[in-house]
Amino acid sequence: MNVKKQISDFFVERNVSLGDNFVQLHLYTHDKLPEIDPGQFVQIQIPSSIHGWLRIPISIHDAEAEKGKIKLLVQKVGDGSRWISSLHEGAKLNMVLPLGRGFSWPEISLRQEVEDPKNAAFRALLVGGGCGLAPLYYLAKCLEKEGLPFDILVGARDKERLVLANELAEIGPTGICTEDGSVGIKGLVTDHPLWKGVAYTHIYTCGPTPMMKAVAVKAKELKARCEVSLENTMACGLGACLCCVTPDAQGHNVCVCTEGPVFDADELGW
Amino acid sequence: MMNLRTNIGNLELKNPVLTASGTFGYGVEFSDFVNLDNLGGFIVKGTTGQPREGNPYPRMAETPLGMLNAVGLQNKGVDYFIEHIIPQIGQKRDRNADFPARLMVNVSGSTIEEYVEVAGKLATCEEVDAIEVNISCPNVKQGGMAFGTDPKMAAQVARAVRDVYPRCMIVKLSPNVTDIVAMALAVEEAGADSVSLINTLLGMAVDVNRRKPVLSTVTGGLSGPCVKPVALRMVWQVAKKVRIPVVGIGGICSATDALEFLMAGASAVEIGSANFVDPSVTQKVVDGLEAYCRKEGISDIKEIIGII
Repeated sequence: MNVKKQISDFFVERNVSLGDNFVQLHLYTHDKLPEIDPGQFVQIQIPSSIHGWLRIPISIHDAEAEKGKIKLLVQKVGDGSRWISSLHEGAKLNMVLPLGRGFSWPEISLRQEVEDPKNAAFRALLVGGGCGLAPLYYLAKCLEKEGLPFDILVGARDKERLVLANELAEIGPTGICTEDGSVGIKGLVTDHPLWKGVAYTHIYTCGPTPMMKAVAVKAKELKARCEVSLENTMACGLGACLCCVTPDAQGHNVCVCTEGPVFDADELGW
Repeated sequence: MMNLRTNIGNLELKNPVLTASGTFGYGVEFSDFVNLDNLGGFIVKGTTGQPREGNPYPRMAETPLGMLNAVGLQNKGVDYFIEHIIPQIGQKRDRNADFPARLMVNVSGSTIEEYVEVAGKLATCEEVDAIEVNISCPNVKQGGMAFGTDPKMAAQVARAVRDVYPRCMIVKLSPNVTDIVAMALAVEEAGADSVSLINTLLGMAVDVNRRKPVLSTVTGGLSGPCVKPVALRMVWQVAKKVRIPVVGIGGICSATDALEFLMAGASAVEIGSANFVDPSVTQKVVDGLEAYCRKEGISDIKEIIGII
């Protein structure tokens, strides 16, 4: 889909603290928004200072384009994201959106017969951790709207670092893994019994790179299609500066901001 | 009616606002935000004889009011540019513009032969109004910067390209030299219609947690508002000494920044990294120049060029 990108002022409707490291920002704009795909991102302008100057890319956590609303999950990592996460109700945020190529799924809609054999064949697993769960949340909502079946798998180091698990559980069946076993199954996301019980056709993953690589390997074993969302450092977000590249399967450097951030795992040379 | 028109040699621009190579893609990436034909012109990405993959990631480091890049001239080569990209650019142009923006191509190479090959091929494209010969890229191992730091080699490149490219030829200068005026005079003598300056300043950043350089290439080119005073000083020094028009580049983010360069002697300016922060900044600078002229009662922007 090639919708027009725009620069819009958004306003903070709510700032919800999710533990020590994350906030969920509920934003609205008076501008008309185009349709937004899960996996797409925004580029946020921050006040120019010696600590930061370039826009900050953040993936879209939820969207109701027709109402002019989006949500972002912001992890407090640097000065810019700390500034964004400190914004109060009514504060203004300038964003360029919607950017990048999001997640995809077979074109099956509720309008089609439920008995459609294609529909029966589709079963997805969404696997993520930390900030990576933000776009998976919106993806889960979109899949639910399409009537497509899916499960969710959330990974974290420990209970304190677990984020969005409750919110995701409200949309679909959600499994949890923690490395120390403080909640859910003890181990990595790839150790979870969910993988053994269901024949998944589509795996969607976003989170730390080692996790995504392990998930992609697992997906290959299952002969499932796997989409991964990358998070390279970027400047323009528009495919112009060529700073955020990653090698594809042929060894060519491609822009994460425009060719991605979501890639078919088989397209990547990692 | 305000006149923002300016000249680079024989080439007239509708206004002095251009885009710096490598910061505006092929223009098409910005067409949702800017009517390309409202600009004086746009200079598209460094183009080489053969396709190049550029340097490995990471290629960018944010620095105080600036950024380092080490892209390394990733591009698909001149043949691909002519066959595929020029038509794409054409689709984003405003066919009703009475004075269209000038399309300029940044030309790079590792050898004099490569510069000549690219310039020669572009000479056959009537869509291309000018070339900017990049003898100053700090991010490629061969050529590029080497040509840009020795006046004799710079003149050799300029002369060779001059022989195959009959239209407007700008030579882009590196600030990583002891005497940039000597470089400018050398390429003027060799037949350049204009010089543009400055390309990025060689810099470096270290990730103290990883105890490693941030960039895969260790060093990279610094751009952004932090380089503006250096760029302005160099533009002023060069404009005092050469007879050909100077194009000013370096950290321009606003019409006020652009005016500083014009007053210091630049006939036109290029906007670079600021495009990343505000994709519509070029249009804002054009509007700001017009507003300044109206406020100050200036009927022709040329009145203020080089008044310092």
